[in-house]
Amino acid sequence: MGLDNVSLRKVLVSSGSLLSFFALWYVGSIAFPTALPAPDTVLEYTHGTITSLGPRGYTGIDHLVYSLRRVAIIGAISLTAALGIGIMMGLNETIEDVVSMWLPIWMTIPDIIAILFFMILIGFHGGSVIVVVSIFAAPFGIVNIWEGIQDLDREIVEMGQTFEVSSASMWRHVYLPHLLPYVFASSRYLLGQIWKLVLVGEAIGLTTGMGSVIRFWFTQGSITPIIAYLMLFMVVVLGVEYGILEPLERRFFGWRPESG
Amino acid sequence: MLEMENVTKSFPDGDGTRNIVLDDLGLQIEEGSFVSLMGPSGCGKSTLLNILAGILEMDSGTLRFDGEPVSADDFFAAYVFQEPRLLDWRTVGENIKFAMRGQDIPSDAYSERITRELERVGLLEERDSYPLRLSGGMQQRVGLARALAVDPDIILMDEPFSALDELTARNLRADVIDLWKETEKTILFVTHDIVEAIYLADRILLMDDSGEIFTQVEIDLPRPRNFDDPQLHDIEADLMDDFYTRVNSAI
Repeated sequence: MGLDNVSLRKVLVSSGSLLSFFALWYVGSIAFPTALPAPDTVLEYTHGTITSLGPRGYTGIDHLVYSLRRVAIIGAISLTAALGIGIMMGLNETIEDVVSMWLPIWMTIPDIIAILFFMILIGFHGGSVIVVVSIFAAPFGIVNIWEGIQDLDREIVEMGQTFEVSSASMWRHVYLPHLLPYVFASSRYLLGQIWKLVLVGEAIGLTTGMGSVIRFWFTQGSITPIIAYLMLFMVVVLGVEYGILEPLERRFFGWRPESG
Repeated sequence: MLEMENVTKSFPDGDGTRNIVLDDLGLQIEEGSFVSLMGPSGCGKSTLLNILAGILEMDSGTLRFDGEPVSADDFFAAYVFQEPRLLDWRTVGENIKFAMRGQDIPSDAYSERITRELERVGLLEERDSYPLRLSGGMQQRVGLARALAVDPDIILMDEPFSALDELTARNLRADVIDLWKETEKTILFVTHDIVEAIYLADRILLMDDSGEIFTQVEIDLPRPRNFDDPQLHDIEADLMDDFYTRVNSAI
């Protein structure tokens, strides 16, 4: 019964906040009609954008797929790099010292400079966006995984040693399960970072992807299509969160006692 | 029979000297016996266990098993820690399997052993539960089942009940004695609780701050023993006397 109350409360809170969001938007669109189009206008436009060819010769879905494909590739590269480098930092002090010395610089170079630099260096195509965003998103994952390694429970490691468990078993049953929550935290954070950077890259130098259409409509001074694309994006975010991340977490973290 | 002779262990101090934790220490543990090692906190009890478990090397000294000089790798010691030290993300059964992987146990024997040991500690129905859903006492029982499942030459217990409430601890002490009789395992049990040591052990080794075992006492009270037995408390008073005389003369 306690659980039912909790899930009921969750449904009420999330639907309530969603309704308030649309209500606020509606009120805003009445107050500033030139700056903010009404929700129904945007939703109608979103539908049109999805199905018909846009100014660059692609539908909205095509552009979304271009962007998402880039995000997925970069996500895979940067998460792998974060795991590899983060774990190596935990195992080797020299690597730890070198990487941790560069991390503050690596994390604070303005993305716009990095993107422009790599576009000029490699060319104005999707590949350079993938390269530059992979390089500059990775440190945010590295920091997380590194922290995870430092939080490793030494007593559990000692337990494994006293039972003479092989290092392969230690990785499979101790280190990796311990790192899993940090991998999830990194994935969420990286996806957010990468998505924003990919759109900036597309807006600056590409003719495909959501960033490129948003820049097109910006130069036309048209706000409705931009918000329409934002709507499309919100649906994707909710899909990733509730369709992929949450079910995976339920599967991997079922051992945690119910909380809240 | 497991013997330690002239065992010395020191750790580097901050100022370049060495802090001697075990000083020319000797002990014998007969096969199948229940020996308690008692001493003040920080006197090197855990260091001694870690040497027997093979996670620390001694500086000098000899280990013998059944009369033959051996290294800590030549006999197998299973540890029961003060904290349960279970993998929270693995079920009770998988935790026991994890420990068995380190030994030469054929994998088709895992399941049967898990059943046997969980039955022994009364937790068979929790085989598929995750540790965090169990009480502290139950988690410690899983730790016991894990140590028994690997069929060790000796079980090392490092204050395993000191973090539990007294009622739970008493039940577990009685159960440990039953398990010990049933399995005929050799147990070295570290504690700083004199009554616990007298209740459990055949023999108590008393250690002082200088890293030596200064005396040992045979406890010949008949079993099953009773925690509130006046004889048990007479022995406690005597041991306390011995102990204070020793510690105060050292100061």
